[in-house]
Amino acid sequence: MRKQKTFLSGLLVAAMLSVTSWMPAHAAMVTTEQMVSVQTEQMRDAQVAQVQGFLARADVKQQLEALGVASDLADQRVAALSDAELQHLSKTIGEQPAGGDVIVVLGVIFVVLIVLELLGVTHVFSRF
Amino acid sequence: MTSLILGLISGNARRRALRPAFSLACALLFASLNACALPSLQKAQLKPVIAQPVMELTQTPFFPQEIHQCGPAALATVLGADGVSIMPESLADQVYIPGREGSLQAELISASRRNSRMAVRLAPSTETLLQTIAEGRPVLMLQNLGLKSRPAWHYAVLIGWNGPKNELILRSGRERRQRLSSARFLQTWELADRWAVVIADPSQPPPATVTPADWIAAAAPFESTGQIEQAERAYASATQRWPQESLAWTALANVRYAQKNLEGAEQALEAAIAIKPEAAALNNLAQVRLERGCGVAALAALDRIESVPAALQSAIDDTRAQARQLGADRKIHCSAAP
Repeated sequence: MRKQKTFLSGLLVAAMLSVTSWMPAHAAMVTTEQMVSVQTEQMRDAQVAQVQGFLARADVKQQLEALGVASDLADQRVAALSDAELQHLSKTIGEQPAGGDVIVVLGVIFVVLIVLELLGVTHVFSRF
Repeated sequence: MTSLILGLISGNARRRALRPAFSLACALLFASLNACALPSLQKAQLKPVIAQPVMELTQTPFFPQEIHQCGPAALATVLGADGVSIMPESLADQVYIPGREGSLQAELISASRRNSRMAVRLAPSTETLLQTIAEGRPVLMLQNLGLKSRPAWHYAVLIGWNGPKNELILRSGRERRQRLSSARFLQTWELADRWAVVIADPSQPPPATVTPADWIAAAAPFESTGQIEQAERAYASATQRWPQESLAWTALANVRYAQKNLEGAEQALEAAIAIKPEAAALNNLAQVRLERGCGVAALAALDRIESVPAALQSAIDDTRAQARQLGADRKIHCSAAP
């Protein structure tokens, strides 16, 4: 039966990757993550994501470790990501915005003003 | 900035010989500024957005960020405001990536779930942000403090505004109370794709400013990360807040099904179908009825599907084949209407 086949193959992949937070997908039930992406094209993507999530999990973990995250923390972090999130991240982890520092853009303008001053074009600073 | 440059031009009359060079430098400077300026800046007036002229969530906690750690600090701020007491240092283990010297949006969202909350995406309008704050909820947002070509990503928490001064108030970096002009605020937010989320408790009523689709999308990952009870709470909250939203009922049915509560799943699906007889919901209803031993009732649900989306074709065919195989209703409870 198709449903059992899906269940079995899913179980195999899970066993191979020793994924902890894994739940069997029922072939005949349409999941909420699939339904959230209403358009048919996206829905197919979500179905694919569910299968590829297993592979993406190992991939994202590896990438996090390569970026300096400790192995046990990386394990917990990939376990907290959904299949769709994992698949998205595995492709783009290097390009995603990583919020970090407060950089003052005005610094750039300040440098331009100093250059102008040094070139003798302006006398902004010598006036004060 | 403009007045400063104009001041420079008039103050350097004696350097007439160098004027062409100076004009060129000015032109280049203006060009680089314009590269990050956006059309929406012209309309960056806060006053008409909301009736309340001044608002500030002063009770919002503040964690001055350590180097590169605005992600953990901003997340601790919004989680703290929603009653989750956690220090940025603990959150750093959940979201900070040393190799990127920062944190990813996806991980701020997953870390919220690890702390029993949902980070729900907000509609990309200033009005939505301000209304969310007016409801007493600070907003976690991404900013690009650099240029489009050389981004400097930064997370901050919006906690209020001052309409007459046209300013927004944020917890940002090491500043407890950063005041940004609405133009600068919009510019940095626009360059970060207007990304903003609100933290919410799945078991509480959803914030007034979130859409049902965004709420459900934020809750769905609880299912595949082994926090099924949290997903159920979120969907139950959704059905109470938006009883006419069929997706909320279908989602609730799915988690009940996953928890082997077939009767509860069937009730929720019937509620969904009463609103909108969608193919996915009817298929799932048929599947639940099958598992309750009701072949005829399952087929009755499948027969109500008017058009089959391509992506669902195989699932529906599968259910129908099983329903035909079962053939008859074996239990008395199967007498339910389609």
